[in-house]
Amino acid sequence: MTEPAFDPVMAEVRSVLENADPVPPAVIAAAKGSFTWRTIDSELAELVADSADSLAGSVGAGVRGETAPRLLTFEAAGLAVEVEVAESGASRHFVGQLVPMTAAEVVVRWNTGSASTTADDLGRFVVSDIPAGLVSLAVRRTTDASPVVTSWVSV
Amino acid sequence: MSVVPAWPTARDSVVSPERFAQNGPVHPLVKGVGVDDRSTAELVAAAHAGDSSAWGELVDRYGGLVWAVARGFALSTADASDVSWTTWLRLVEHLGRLREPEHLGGWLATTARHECFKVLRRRGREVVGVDTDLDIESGEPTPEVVVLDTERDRLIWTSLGEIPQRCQVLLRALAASPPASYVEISAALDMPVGSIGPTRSRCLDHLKKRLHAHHVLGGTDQPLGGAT
Repeated sequence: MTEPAFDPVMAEVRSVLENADPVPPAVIAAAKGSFTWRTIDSELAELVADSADSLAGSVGAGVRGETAPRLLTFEAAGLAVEVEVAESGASRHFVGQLVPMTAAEVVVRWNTGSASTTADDLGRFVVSDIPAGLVSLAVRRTTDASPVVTSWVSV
Repeated sequence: MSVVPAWPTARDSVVSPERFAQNGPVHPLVKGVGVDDRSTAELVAAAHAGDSSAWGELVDRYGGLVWAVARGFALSTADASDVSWTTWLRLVEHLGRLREPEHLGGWLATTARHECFKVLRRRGREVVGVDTDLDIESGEPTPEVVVLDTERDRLIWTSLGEIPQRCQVLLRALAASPPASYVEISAALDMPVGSIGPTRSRCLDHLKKRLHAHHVLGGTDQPLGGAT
């Protein structure tokens, strides 16, 4: 290190971390690539409830994933997106409900792809074979309401 | 790291962490001077308007901070990668909604901490770092097997994994490139800015105790008293 070291231990720590634990290039690449997910005209539906969070403190770890499906609730102004997540190995199965009930085009987006389906007049939709990992849903209602995207969540 | 060739230049041109420590909180705009002289707030505005180079510069400035927070909370490399990506996706969602874009580093550090705790909860592990006493040992040495040149470096790495979790976050953030400001560290740890300086001293003391225990530091080494 060429920096004037106020504390030589800190300089050594920096050197060790730079060698042993640098930011992986793939992590930087993923961060830069996330810009492509920018949506300009959509409203954001934030994750307001996640059953995995509320169960974590009370149920033994490691088994809850297999016993009950996880329920996620996203909310934007005027639209809630509820998703039940079922696990099957490394893939996920979504059963969703739009509230209030409305027909819509629903797209599930992930790092390497996406899957689209339609929600029926009662706001119900199903999407299968979603890879485990970070996902976001985009909802375009058949009315002229503005499109909604959910925040990213790991499933 | 060869992905961001501008790093060495950036580091040389910014204030060293030791001077950060002496001078206390440093204005976030000090970061990255010499690479892209737009302020962080200007970069946020440009990225929001669709400028991907501005986005890339933000990642260059703060990618190390986000990584330091995730790894400091003892996440595996895989989990830390997820936390990092999630944090940046949160920023993509919120680019136009930041109340104080000039304090982006603090926002990212806070977001990364929240995402870390989500992962830790999901893993069924006790969440450390908030509302816990500083002196509680983490007991979670970082699990990765790393390749280091010398026995001394290996022992420094081991010692880093043996100090309280907060200290791991703090020292990693200070060691990041470019180094985190006290404002950002206070966001990462959810602690008042005013306690970061004293905490830093205590963390270095913790580390030095471990280094002594591993015989990396000899008995004649000065105890760290004046580093505030």
